[in-house]
Amino acid sequence: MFPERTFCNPLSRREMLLRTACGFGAFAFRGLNPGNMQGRETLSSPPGLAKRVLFLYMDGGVSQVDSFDPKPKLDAEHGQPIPLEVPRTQFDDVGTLLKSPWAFRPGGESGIPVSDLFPNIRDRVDDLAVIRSMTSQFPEHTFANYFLHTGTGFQGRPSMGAWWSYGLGTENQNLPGYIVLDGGLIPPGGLDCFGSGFLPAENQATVLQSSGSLIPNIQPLDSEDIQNRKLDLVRSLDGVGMVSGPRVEASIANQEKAFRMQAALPQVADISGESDTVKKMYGLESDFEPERIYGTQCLLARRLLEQGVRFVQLTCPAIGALDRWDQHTDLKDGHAKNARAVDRPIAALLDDLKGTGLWEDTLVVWTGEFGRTPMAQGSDGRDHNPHGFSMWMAGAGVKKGVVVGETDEYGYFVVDKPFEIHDLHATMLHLMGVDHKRLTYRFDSRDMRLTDVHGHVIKEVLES
Amino acid sequence: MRVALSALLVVLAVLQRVEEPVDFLRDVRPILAENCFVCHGPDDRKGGLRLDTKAGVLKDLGGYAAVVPGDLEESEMWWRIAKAGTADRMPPHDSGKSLSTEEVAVLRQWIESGAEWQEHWGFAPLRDFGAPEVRNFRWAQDVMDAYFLGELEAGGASLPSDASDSVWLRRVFFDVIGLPPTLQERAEFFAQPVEHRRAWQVDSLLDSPHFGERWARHWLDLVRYSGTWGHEFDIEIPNAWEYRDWVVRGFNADVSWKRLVEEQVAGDILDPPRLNIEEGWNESILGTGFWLLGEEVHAPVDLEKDLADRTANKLDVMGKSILGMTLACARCHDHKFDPVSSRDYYALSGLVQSASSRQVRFQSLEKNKDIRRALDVLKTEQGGLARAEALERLRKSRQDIGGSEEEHVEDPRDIALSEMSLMWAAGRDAWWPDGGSYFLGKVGEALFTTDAAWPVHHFLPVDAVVHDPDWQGLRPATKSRAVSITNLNWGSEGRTFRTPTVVLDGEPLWYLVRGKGAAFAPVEHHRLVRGPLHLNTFHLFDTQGKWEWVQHPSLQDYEGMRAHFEFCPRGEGEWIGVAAIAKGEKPPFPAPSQGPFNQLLNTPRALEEPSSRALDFHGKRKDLLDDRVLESRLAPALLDGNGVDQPFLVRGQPSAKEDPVPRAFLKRFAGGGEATPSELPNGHPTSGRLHLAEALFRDSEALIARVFVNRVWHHLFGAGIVKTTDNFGTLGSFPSNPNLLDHLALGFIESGWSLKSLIRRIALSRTYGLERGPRRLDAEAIRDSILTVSGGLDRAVGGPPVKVHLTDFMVGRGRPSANGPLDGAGRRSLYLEVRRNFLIPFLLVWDFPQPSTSMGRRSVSNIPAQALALMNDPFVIQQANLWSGRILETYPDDAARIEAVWLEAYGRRPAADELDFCFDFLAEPANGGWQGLCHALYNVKEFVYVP
Repeated sequence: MFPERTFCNPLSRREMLLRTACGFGAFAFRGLNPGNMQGRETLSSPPGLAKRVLFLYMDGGVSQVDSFDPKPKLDAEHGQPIPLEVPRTQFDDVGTLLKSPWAFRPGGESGIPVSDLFPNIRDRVDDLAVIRSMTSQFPEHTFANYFLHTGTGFQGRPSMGAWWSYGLGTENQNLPGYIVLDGGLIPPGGLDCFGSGFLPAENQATVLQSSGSLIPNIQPLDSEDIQNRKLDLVRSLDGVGMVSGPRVEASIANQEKAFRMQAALPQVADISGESDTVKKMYGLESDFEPERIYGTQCLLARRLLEQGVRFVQLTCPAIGALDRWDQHTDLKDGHAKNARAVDRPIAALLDDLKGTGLWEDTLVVWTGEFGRTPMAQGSDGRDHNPHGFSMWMAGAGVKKGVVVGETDEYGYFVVDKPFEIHDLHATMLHLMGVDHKRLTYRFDSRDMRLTDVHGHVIKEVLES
Repeated sequence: MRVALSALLVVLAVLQRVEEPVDFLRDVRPILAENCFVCHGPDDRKGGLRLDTKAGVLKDLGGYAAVVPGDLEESEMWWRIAKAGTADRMPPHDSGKSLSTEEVAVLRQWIESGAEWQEHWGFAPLRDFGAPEVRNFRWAQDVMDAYFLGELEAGGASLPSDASDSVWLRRVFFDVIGLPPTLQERAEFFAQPVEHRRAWQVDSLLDSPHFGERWARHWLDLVRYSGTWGHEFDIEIPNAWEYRDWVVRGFNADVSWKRLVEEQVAGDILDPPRLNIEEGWNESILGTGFWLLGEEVHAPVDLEKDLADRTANKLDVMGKSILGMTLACARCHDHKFDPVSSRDYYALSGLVQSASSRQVRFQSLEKNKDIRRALDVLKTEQGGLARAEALERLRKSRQDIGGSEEEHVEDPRDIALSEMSLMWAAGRDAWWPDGGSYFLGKVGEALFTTDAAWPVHHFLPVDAVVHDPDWQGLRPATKSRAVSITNLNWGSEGRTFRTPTVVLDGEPLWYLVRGKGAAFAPVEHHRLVRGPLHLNTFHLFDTQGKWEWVQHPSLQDYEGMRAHFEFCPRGEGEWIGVAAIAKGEKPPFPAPSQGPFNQLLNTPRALEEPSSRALDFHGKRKDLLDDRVLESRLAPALLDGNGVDQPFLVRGQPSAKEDPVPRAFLKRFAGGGEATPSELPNGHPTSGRLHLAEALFRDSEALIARVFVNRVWHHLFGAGIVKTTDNFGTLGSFPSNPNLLDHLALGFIESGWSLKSLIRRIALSRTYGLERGPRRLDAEAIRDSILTVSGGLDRAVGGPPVKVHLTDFMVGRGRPSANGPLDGAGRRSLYLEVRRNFLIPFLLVWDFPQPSTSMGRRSVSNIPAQALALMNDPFVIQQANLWSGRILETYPDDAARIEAVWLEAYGRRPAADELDFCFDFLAEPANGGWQGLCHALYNVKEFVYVP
């Protein structure tokens, strides 16, 4: 009834520090994660498994039939109606079959076909496990975004990264465990795609901006000297104040952590020390601004992963007036520009992860929230298609150079090995050494899971 | 209280418990629920055994049973939990669950003592156990205190000391009004005689308008209050703040909780409604905003699924906030632990889905309805004569029209009334107006003007629902937002009526109408029409002054889905009449042609002078209409409709429809789940929510009272008697003191469900006034405190929200185009806009909840972002500057200033060393003097932690 009551006469903090031999330190550690921590299990990953995740989010929905899922039938029957019964789509304006503007070519030794949209990724396809049979439950962006990011199509649930942060903690006490690098486009559904839902607030994403101040309030408005002296005064006053106990101690510890973050975060975000070769490799010298932005984000991502950040997500850069991958019209121009922005930087990041030794324990996931229709919307666009789309995974524990699953001959519906987002989540957790059924948090008197009551590990992408 | 004891005391209590009789609900069931139900429960009955029912526990499993009351050795359960080897041991090793020694001891004692099985405590009737016996009875000031003391004595813990007046004062200010005491308020308190000062203070706080603000915010957490719909574009919910202010006024006026619940459930159909004390407007109807604050989607592809999702959220919120039950679990399967079946869920769905929504002109509603009633009476008494005289005068103006008027106005509809294709007919079928501007006109009836010289607009050639031509000029107050951001931008507020809900069968649809208007068929209640997807659900028509059959755009795509029709005139000075809705390849009968008298009306000519009786009629009519209220504020509210039973959806899938489930309240509570009447007492068809409001209190009064009392306790003590404030079901936590809970609940009902009486009683108890560990203030109290001490607080109550102050980090679709002020114009946090996709970062870091479902218990996190906000947020620095400026101006020297800021910020005087620290800081000019000091003082933990 009175959880915060201490049933002895309360001490002022001053008295308590005087009377308890352990004093500050003991409380600081105990209190770092107070609050609603019911049901938490400490879950560390066994050796050989992923320690961290890099989530490359292709906002808007990349067309599977123009990227990783070649469909010769589209060339043959271009301009004809699709002979399948198709459900209603977002704009309900789909016409006849539309052939892909891009040629597919086999990549690497595996010969997995990838379209000319992604020549650089194609060169590294031997490292990827391509899933051609992913599905979503929602044909609208916002639902599908919440679903992909939180396992539920609605606002207010904890995001993947929050579950990671909650379940696995952070490796670096001076940096947040879950960081989203905002390339310029926050997906529909907004920042709630990265929220902590009912998990404690410490698990929500820290969104780093590509320009200006990195995160809110990270830049002191005072000079370092003045801030130091203000904090000295605060420390002195906290030392003799009338409130005490674990929560207050944790709050004091957080003040110190915040102070350290002020220095640590800008330091890791400062890429000026990287060599010109590295910068060039990531596309930082490109004449195409979105590629420069995305390249910078990729480089930053590698630095954050190196520093032990548990979950890093990249959002897409804005491509002029064109809106991310969501090409309801002018597929050719829009997809080409979006691909140009990400293809080389992603390839560079994959190489760099290998070069820096991060590859072995970093899981890389590349996906949109759904795919696109094989039929044209209007004359030259494609509408949303949640019934079958492509994604890929790579890195720690992921089988190399495989294709899993199949869509029908037009690329609309999955016909072999249908997977859903819950399966993706289960697989990602599995690769971290975590059983998705056991990562739970008690809320509403229920043990909540990222995968709710669903999810099967996609064994076909596992290395062993 | 047991849950709350410190670690040592928990152990003591457990040891104690083994000796005292074991209580099934408190001690046994939670162990079974946590460890056994997963495999031996409603879903899975491994080995044919279920442990969630009495029958299951005692069931003969083939010569043996899990539990044989009183016989430990014969009980399989005992062997399995205490004696069996690893292979047979329960719970199994790989389940990740295990029983502690204490838990095994409890189960042993339970079996030995006869394995008593009890009904769940939350659903049992309230019982008064009388004051418990305590040794130190002089200490208790209230029965409540005796309960507290009894628990304490039983646990052998020592009594904490009473908090000082200063500590109590700061605590009670935050708890009751959410603001810290100012120096003046503090002085007033200490000026009171010692023995009366606390009672005086509580009364004065309960009288403060800030009381309602504080407690409204608690309730808003439970109804996922937001001013936007979230989703992709975060579209505004027009005038959502009126619901917020309704809660504030309700609490300030201490309207009974029972009444406030009834108004939220059925405030639109409560008769009579509660009227605003000062302004006389309809307050009750504002309560129904409760249902309309959830997420909504602008172009859902699957409208049935969308409605099912929205309904699930509504029931989730209703269940948790009012009943403390997780009803939404039953959407896909019978509730695993609580007595809520999937049929119950769909029975409730029908109740909730049968009403539609609108922006109600609540200020004018009652007055204009009264005028409509008076006009109807006048028409009955004098309308016939006035009409006859009008016809006579017209006839005389042109000699060539012979015969009586009836020959010219025949109702062609008579021919077709029996036809199946006629889906709705005025005069035959029900309709619901949104305000007083509509009436049902009968064939031949004259639509009068207020001008006796030219007395008629039109003679109706057919029965029709008519937007009265004399009700032009209805307009929203400037405070209200009328402009719709959807495609439905014809100003429907107070000018709309709806028809009953029907199932669409794909056939072409027609309506017989006259005028320039809009017809809207919200399929599956989808109203947020924006984007290309559902444009066919509305149609704009203009019949150029004739009665015509107008075809609605094809609704073929919605075959099998439900819709009703809404009609509204478009444009100033327009009136419409709606006679019928039909389906089929063509209309069932021809539209009535322009009769000779109506033709006459179109060509103005001199009429002979009206008689004195006609003058009297038109004069009275004009007088009545002169009183109509044209301007009114708007608010989201329900508009009732006919009852539509929701088909059962197998596993919650809209694609797997079964038979409709009759609308009803939960079977467990209502005597057998009695079906809801489909008519109001006045005979009008209804959704049945009025019945729901009655059933709630007739059948689950005890639960509602317990849930509410516990919420109040939670807010006053930092944790509820039942810790899981939103779940009083079998998986909720057992009350730390069930007798106290019932005692308070009974007192609450007896007081007429008075929130103020309950708070007064608790706040003046000895228990409330004890020393406690520090509690962190919540988000709003922290921001409001910063403003209070700086002097920047604007204490105005109510009104439209202050726009969100946007930082560079608040990005994404639907970002507002206009930015709000950094300090929120000094208004209390309650009055800052709540935008689902753009919540206020400064409040979020202190655990302001995401408004998606009921949140009765906010998390209290402890994160570096909190320190960063206090250290570096420009708002804090701005307020520190304001604070220091005021202090420098008001007090002559630093010693006096430091004492003042200490009293303001921490509610106490500074100690000597604290003074020294401050003097040292001020002595260094580079520190920024008083601005720097005030900024630092906001960062001291005592500012956000209250003892």
